[in-house]
Amino acid sequence: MKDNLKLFVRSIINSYSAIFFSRSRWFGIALLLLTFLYPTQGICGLICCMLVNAISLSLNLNRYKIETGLYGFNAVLVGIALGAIFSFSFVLIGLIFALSILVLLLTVWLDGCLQKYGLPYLALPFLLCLWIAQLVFQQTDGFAGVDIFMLVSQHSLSIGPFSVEAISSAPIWNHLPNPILLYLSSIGFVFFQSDLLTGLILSIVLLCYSRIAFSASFVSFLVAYFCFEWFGFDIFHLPFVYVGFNFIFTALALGGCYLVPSLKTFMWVLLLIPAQFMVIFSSTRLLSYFMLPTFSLAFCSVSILFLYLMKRRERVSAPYVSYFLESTPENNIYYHLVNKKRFEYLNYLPISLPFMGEWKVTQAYNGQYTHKDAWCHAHDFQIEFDGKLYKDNGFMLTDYFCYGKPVVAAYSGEVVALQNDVEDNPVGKENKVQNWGNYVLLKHSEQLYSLVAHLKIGSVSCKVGDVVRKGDMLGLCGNSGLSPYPHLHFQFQLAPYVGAPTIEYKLSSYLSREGDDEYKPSLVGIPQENEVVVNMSYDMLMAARYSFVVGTRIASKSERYGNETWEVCYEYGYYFFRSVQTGAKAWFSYRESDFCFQRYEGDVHSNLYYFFLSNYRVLFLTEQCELKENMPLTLTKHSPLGWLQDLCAPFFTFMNYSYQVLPSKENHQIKTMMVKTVLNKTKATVSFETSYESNRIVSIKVIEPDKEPWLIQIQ
Amino acid sequence: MSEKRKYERPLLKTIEPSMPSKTGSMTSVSQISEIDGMSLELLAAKEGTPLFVFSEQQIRTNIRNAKRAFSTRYPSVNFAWSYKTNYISSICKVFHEEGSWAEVVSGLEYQKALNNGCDPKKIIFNGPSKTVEDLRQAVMNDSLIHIDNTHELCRLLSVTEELNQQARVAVRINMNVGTYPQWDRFGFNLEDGSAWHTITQVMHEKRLTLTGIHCHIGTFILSADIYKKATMKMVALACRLESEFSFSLQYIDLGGGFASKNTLKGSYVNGAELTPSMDDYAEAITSVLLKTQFPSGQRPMLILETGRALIDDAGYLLTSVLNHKRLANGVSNTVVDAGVNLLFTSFWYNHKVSVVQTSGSFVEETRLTGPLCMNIDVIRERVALPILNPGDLLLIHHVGAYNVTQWMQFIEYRPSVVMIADGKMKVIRRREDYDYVTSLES
Repeated sequence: MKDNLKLFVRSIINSYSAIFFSRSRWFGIALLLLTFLYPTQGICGLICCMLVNAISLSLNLNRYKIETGLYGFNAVLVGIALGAIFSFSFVLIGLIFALSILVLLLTVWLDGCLQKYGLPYLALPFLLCLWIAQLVFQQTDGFAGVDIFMLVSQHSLSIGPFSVEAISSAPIWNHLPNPILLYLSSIGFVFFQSDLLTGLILSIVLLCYSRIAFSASFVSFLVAYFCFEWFGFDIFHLPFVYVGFNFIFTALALGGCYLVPSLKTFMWVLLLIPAQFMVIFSSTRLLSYFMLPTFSLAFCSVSILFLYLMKRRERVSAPYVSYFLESTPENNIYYHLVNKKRFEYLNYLPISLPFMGEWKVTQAYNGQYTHKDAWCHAHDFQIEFDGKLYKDNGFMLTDYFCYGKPVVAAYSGEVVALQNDVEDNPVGKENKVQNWGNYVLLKHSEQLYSLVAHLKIGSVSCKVGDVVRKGDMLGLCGNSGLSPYPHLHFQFQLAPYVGAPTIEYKLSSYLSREGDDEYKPSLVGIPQENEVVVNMSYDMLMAARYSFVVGTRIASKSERYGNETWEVCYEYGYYFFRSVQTGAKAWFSYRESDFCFQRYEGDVHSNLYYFFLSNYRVLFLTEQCELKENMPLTLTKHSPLGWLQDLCAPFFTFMNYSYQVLPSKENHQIKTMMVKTVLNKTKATVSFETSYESNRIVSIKVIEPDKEPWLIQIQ
Repeated sequence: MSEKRKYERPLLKTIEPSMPSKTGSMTSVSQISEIDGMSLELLAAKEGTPLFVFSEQQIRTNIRNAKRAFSTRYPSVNFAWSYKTNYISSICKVFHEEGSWAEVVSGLEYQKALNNGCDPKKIIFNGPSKTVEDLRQAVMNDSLIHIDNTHELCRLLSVTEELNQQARVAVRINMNVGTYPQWDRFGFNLEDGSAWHTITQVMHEKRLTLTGIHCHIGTFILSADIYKKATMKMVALACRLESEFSFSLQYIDLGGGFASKNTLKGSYVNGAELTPSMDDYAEAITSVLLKTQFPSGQRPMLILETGRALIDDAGYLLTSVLNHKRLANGVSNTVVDAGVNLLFTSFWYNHKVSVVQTSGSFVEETRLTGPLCMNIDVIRERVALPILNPGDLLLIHHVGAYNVTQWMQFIEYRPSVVMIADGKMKVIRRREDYDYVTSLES
């Protein structure tokens, strides 16, 4: 019951912030208060929203959607619209009740219709509801001839001599240029008020919530306004203020929320302006037969259609569609910038190197000998020891270190073709008739085949049709085919034919030798020429330290933040720690090769937050190699510089948070750090030492600049 | 001014007017004047003789070569440095730096491994003589204990009970792989069923966790194929464990025994040409492991405890000629300042000997004897060397394994041991002196 009440309150607040595609609680509360500048509207909006959320809850609709305000925000708009049209009476309450149910029906229906295409329904339920109401009113004598836009004249809040009208009509506003005044009126129109005070407060709240959202909406509005003026669109006698918010909302939806903010996203927001005008003018004409306003039709239709277009693309490129709704456009871009690189490996099957031990890349993509044209995406590997590829004088095949070494399946698959009877060439000779020599062609998935070639005669140990697992032996490295000295040729292709063109495909989880005793880890990458590479091998003990069982609770204790309990949870396919005390969540993933935190939400003054920072990614290697990854800039506190960065974020970033694992041979401790840089200059560094005892983490030491180090103990 | 020519004492050589022997090899004397760029004459002048000299570069090359040979053939391989082969700390540390674990057979070696910074979880405790105190320490540190006999197993059980701790153990196994004599002194025999019996016993003990099985089929094994047989038997045992207990072993330890490039006494052929290479051993062992279909699909880690093959050719003994005399039967006899007190291995190897300084072109067959006043002190019965004068330096090769652990403090002090690293000389064990030798006496 208590949980339900909490969820209900949260759903109401989120219903307000969801109007601006947000999940921020303070933003929702600010908007809720703002609607009460016109008390009737405020009350109507709140009642409508409460009704819808309460009904949804009692009917057991999806709690997540209720909580995030996805079912409630259209109700808020409907309530406010009703409050704007009618004065407060019992009739109005009846109307609110009727339309609440209608808007819920429409919301759930549209949600069901569009969800399967991964599209939002935006304000469509509200728009339909408003039209239905309009048509009903036109039929009823009491409401005949009501023009919604003519009725925006509710009593506003007034305290002493200050009333909203008085402030909005003060002469001070005349100093502002016309487009800005229009922007302020238009943005307020979302709450059916075109007064400047509402607009100003709303703009400021929006700016505090998101710099990117504000700038996108402002620019988009200005461009639309100038188009409207210069091209003389006003021949349609349509006041711009009635339709201007369409451009603001399209910019908010596409420019920061459903798409990842970037230069291209912004360009598309501007390129969609003419299309929106077309919808506005045509629908105004069409709807005029029924005396209906076009209202937000342009925004809803163009945004949804454009998102549909984005999802129909065959390959992913900018502008990128957001994976899921982030709390702010800033989160959206910062997480995107970081995750694009950090989780690049998720775009590829975890294919490893087709051999054991350390081999050297003697010819890489676009190599100088044979990797050219359609066959340019291939690798040749050989074994090097003491700077040489062979022992003695290299006249015998057996002198070559790689000759006769096992070649294994890089990933599980089915053997679709092989050759096993081509003689090995003597050193220096090539077989130009049977180019590929002895080979094995594996099918890993549709349109992904891998080929190992130049194997030793008679060494292929599998049959066509065999299903092999990663690491299973395929044959031995040899010198058959177009191969003057023993080497292993490895390539990927789309087609199941030997000799098909090659494709670029990244390999996962390998180490490249950097010095005598140093390795650089690559979670995904393409080995370069002369790189010495080896598959990662994992330390079971390290992996055991990070295998958290869902449902268990972990107790942490620190001098700074006291006791905190973390619960290991699993929801919708994702794992996370939830702080029992603060409710903060830290999402993580656990693979064969590493543990990593994906994101953090909630109170940053907690032990969990420092666990997140210190163990951002840990590889399960026996010796920790240096690892560097960026962290999302949303972890920063608000500062003038941060706001400037937010404004520029879609175009470039000058601040950077990076996470580093320091190389270490120690088995019971890893050292990590977080470095903040501005314009490539290091501004602050926080170091961490995570200590282990047999198979668990025991403590994290946090060393901040100019502060006493402090310890988080974990049980 | 031309350099003064070296004095060579006169030598009479009989010319035998018969057919040249078809097995006789050409006599050539190798001359080595520096190791890794370090002049041996300078070394001798600085540290005196006799002197053990180790090449760090050679040690690293050896272990890397061994790693290359195995890791390019099998996905999970680890080497454990056999402490008894050479436990001078600086040398052990080089191996640990290269990623080797430690394999120890006594409390002393265990302590050394701990002091050398080896992770206790990566110390393998072998041997037939673990005391209760040794076991207690190993259990507390969670080291790997390889059980040798039933008494030890009982002792270990009471130690785990007393400490109320788990112990990670492996069972040492001996088997018939066709070598003579069969090494059946250590561990439990496979063929008579005692190995399986012990394994089942360990599997049923709550406080013991079986991590692996271990065998060591012999020493200086000159045939790689024998390892194939041993691996097959070990793998069969691992598979039986998987099928009967649904239990996967973490590792199979095949011990050591790889031959070095030394020449065994009685061998006609030079050791360097006879011994299998690391690749041969690796191929024999891994080919069996790779072909095996383990029921669980998980391949166990392979652990190797090779000692001799990794260190023998990285160690040299620098010695100087003390005297020369001709014996009653006319045999030439050269007395040097290093004897069997320092060179235990000369009992079974014909160590290669080379000269340090430039010598004349004449060679004579000579007996090489040490400084001890004992008849057994013979380093080489017959070796062809140039005409030597007292004070001339000789370098004895392939002495890295066992000598600096099995040497005796007998009559003489044990000499310094130095290591050449990055072109610099580092004393890794000082020469003993009178105080050291008498310090424990009362």
